Amino acid sequence: MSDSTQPGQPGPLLNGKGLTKRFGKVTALSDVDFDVNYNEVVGLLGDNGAGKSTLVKTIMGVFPPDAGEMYFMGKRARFGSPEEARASGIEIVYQGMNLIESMNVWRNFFIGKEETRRFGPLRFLDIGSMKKLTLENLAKVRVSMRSADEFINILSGGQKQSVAIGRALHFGAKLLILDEPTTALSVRETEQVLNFIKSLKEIGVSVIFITHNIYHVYDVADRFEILDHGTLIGSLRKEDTRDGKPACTPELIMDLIRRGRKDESGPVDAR
Amino acid sequence: MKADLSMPGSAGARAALFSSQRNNLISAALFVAFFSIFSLVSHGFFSGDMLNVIFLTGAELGTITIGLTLLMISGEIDLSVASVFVFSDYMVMALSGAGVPLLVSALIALSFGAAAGLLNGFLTLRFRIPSFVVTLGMLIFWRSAVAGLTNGESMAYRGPASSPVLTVLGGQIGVLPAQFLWFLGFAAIGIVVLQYTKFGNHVFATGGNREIARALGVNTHRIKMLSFVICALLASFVGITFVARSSYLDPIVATGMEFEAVAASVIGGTLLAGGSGSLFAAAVCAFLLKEIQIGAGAYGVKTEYYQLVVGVLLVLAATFNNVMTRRVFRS
Repeated sequence: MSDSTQPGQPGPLLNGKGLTKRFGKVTALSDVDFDVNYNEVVGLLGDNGAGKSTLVKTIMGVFPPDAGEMYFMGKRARFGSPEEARASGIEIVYQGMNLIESMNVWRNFFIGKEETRRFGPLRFLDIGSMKKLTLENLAKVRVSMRSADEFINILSGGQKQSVAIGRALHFGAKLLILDEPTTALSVRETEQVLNFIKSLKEIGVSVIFITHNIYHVYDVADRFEILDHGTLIGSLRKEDTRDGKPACTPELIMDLIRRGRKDESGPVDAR
Repeated sequence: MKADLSMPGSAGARAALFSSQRNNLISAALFVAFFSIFSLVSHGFFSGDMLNVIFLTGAELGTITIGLTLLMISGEIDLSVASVFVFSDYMVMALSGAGVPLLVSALIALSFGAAAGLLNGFLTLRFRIPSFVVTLGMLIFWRSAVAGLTNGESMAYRGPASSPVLTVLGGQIGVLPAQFLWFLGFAAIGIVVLQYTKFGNHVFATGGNREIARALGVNTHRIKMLSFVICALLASFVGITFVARSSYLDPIVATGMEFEAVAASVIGGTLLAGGSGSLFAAAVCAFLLKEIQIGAGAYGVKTEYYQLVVGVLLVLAATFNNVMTRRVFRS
């Protein structure tokens, strides 16, 4: 069992209770309880349209929930925008989506948060320091890059992902939401991304890993939350057992996703 | 971008696309190549008078091109630069002719330039009209305003015949025209600002991808607005220096100069989509165009064909840039 609490910080890192979101008459999220503990990787699973992205957008403050409440690091969180969520330490990384292709790595790393040095009344970019910090942070997510001057457009999908994650960590993210981080990556690159997701726990960062491919997330996640039609239909820990047999195998989870909420036996909750 | 793993373009092409070093080299090489050719074939090209004309007209076009390139990197365009130029020229002529001190006339004309830039930015950003359309309208508007106010006739300068203001704006300083020194100053400041300041970084980010830049905390609205104003201010400034160069205002002066400036910028490698470009390369290409105009004229080519050459070079450069971009972003 991983540490669920940090000394002096009661409760989980993120605690969502009864999160509900409606768009007109459509209920996109219905009374979802969703927690992420400290140093934990949570796999958020579900078929297309299950409500995965609605849930993370609600967490990020893209649209506030219609009902329910959220606590982050023990404090009530009401994010009005992704910027507010970011400032509190939650960052979402879309695949290749928050980097500017026509700029190089170090410039991307510091867009909007440039380090400057004063020369008399003028301020200039502190390029040396930004390049150094960029390479140091990329080394933390186990990426070695020849130079911080490389333009983003020549990087592989996995490298781009690492740059985006490295940037989030440098600016103090405590919870990273990775949206389909392994889709469209080669086998080798997928392995690299999964490796550094594991390494994130060592540096005290929790991860929500969104995917519909259980085989990508199974190895790295501690827990799996399965959504269907806006409802949480399953919450499984890897060590869960039922009648003495493992209750949390990739096959069982796939089965759960496939059956969705049509399953008459009701939500599976092995906790 | 999904295409990354199956990227068809060679790694070299991808690596080179956004590198301004390559554009700087190509532009400088073209400039030197044409200079050598004209020095050999065009009678009288390599003379003090001819070179002085290149320095002067190149500086005028170059100053406008710098502002335009900055704006194009931020993802917008300004086709009204030549009309703002001519309206500023008109304002100094009219105000100084009515007895307003020259320096005050120049400052009023410069304020007009800033206001014209603000208007371009406001219309483009507030009503989400492409800046191409807004500034095309402004091209026609300011040019027609001058034509109407002058009744389409040449207007003579009636301000003080000699003034330190005229010397500073457009006198001959040693062997160089003052406009060239102004140009060097603007170019140096522009290059430093674009490469080494927060503002410059935000200009590239805004033009590279506005949504992402905004999500990362860049005030893209402000960046674009400032770029519009800087571009119009430089065009206005060149219009003001024109008073020192010519004691007449011909309402059709500098017609087509906006296209020369766009051409210089694009030949210098500025991407029409924004996000990439080099002030150095664009400015060198402004001088390249003037060099071609004067060199070909000295060789005996009809001056009318100059615009034709500009057109051909523009299309060639835009095609080249676009092919490069497509090879990189095939998806």
